[in-house]
Amino acid sequence: MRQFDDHRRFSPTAQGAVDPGLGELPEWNLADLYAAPSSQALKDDYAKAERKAAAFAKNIRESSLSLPRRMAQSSPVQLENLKTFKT
Amino acid sequence: MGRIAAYATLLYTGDTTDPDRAKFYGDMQETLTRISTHLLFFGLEINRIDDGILDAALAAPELAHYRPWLMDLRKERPYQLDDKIEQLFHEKSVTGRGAFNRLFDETMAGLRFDVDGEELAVEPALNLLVSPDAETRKKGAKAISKTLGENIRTFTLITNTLAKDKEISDRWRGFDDIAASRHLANRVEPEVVNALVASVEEAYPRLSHRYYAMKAKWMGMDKLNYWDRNAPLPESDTKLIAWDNARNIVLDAYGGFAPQMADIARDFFDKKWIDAPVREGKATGAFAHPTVPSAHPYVLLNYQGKTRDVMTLAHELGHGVHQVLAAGQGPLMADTPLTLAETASVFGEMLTFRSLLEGAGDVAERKSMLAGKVEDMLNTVVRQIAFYTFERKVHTARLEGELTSEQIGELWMSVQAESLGPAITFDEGYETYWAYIPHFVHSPFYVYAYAFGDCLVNSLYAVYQETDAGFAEKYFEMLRAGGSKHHSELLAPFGLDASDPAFWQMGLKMIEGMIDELEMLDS
Ligand SMILES: [Zn+2]
Repeated sequence: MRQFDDHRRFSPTAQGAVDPGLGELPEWNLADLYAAPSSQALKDDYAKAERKAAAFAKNIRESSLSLPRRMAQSSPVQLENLKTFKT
Repeated sequence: MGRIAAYATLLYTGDTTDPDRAKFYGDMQETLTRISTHLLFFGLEINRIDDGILDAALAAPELAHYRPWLMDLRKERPYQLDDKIEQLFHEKSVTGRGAFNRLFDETMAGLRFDVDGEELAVEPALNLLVSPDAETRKKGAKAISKTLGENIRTFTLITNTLAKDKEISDRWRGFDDIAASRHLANRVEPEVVNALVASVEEAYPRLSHRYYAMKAKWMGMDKLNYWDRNAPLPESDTKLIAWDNARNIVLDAYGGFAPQMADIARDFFDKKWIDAPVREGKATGAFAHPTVPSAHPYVLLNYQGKTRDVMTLAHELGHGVHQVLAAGQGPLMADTPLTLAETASVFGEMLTFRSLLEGAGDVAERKSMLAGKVEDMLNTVVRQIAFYTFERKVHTARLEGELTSEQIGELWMSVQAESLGPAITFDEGYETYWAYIPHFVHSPFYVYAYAFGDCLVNSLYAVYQETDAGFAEKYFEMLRAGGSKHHSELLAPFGLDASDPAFWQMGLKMIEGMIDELEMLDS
């Protein structure tokens, strides 16, 4: 639920060719995240996320009834790891 | 999951018309939804834990880091209902609030606005209102009011239903004010919002009323029509700013504030974190995406070389610098509370604006730059506070029963006249213009956050101008805190307090000062 969109910054829909007077405009390199949508690293991360989410939910269900204190201690760390794939 | 979501989003925004990217993005969202159902009730569960047990748990060193996050979550506890009721609310929202949100979106997307026989969708129709040609603006305005008028019963139904839906949920949860749940979500106290609203309303005559009277004169009119309000000024600039030049302008402005700020921003240029050109199928507008703290942010622009585009670059890089500095807080606490989310971006824009203004060639250029900035600020500050006031009136009136389209229109018109002032004519047709504003539907009472951000930066900038040394270090410290601190803690080192009306007046004084200067240049 990251809020990154800039609601205010509507600019009129861009059209036409880029003005050559602007010089060379940079394009981003997304390879810092993944090499490609088909990359093995991405597939592995998907699988890992599913596994961890299920384990996390199970842990909550089981521990929240019996051991609230244990859950309070471990769950934020787990939730955070889940969001970032730290293992 | 954050990394995949960021990757899919960025890939998709780069070309929204590519079917492979669209599918990848769609699949990602579906998986994300499925996974997050596991996590949905996590917050609720945490809030079931007794205070005593949680306090004891927080004493453990490995959990101390998460204290701000848990304490924040805790604030929702008094309004949380039994599990079964929460579940029912959640599931019913698909056919309740969710369905009416969708009805709005789909109705809006289907609307066509007839301009000289051409059937325009809502965005191109709204774009006509900023055309340099008066006749085009008028045609656009008339087409908008005609189509909205023909569909006003649907929008009235949506408005009535959503206000009632909100009242039901607020009543069950025990919120004592129509906007209380929004304030809670924004982590801001009602008295802070009240101080902001009162200060802005009190300043209407010295801000919007005065400026639009001056603009009418510039345009050679006694009074502006409502479709002339955002018309480009006669001597708006047309010269193009090359990319390298834009880069230098922003880095110089940032560096003038603090070398460290320019250093962080320089990475965005040197390491290919920016996507600048306009391309077929690329998302419009601009944003800075933080991705995940273990990676780095990316910035998307549609750079076309106007002064406005340079300001947008400065704005998004401000977000970018903030995201880099806050990454140390980790994914749960890196996100700044909404009220402060626009601080770094607007501040970066302000630094760049000031440095461009200093370099302005002649009086005409200076005037045009100042006027552009004032109009932006009026749209962000005056306009959004007026929107908030309108929403309050609608939701309050709805408590007494269903509203007719006419009643909603009257509330709208009274708020417009009050906030924009006597220099603008609102003739027949404007009473339906409330209907297209998506925020009223999607995020009730959200709009004041924009005004909050702008005013806050103005006040902060005023402090910066009066400080000799040490401001930058405090500023970075504030950005590094991310979402781990309350606004009162973040502002205290600057001697600022958002619950004090004087704080807001200081920010509004800056806009007033610009209007003063415009008046002076004019005479
Ligand atoms: Zn922004």
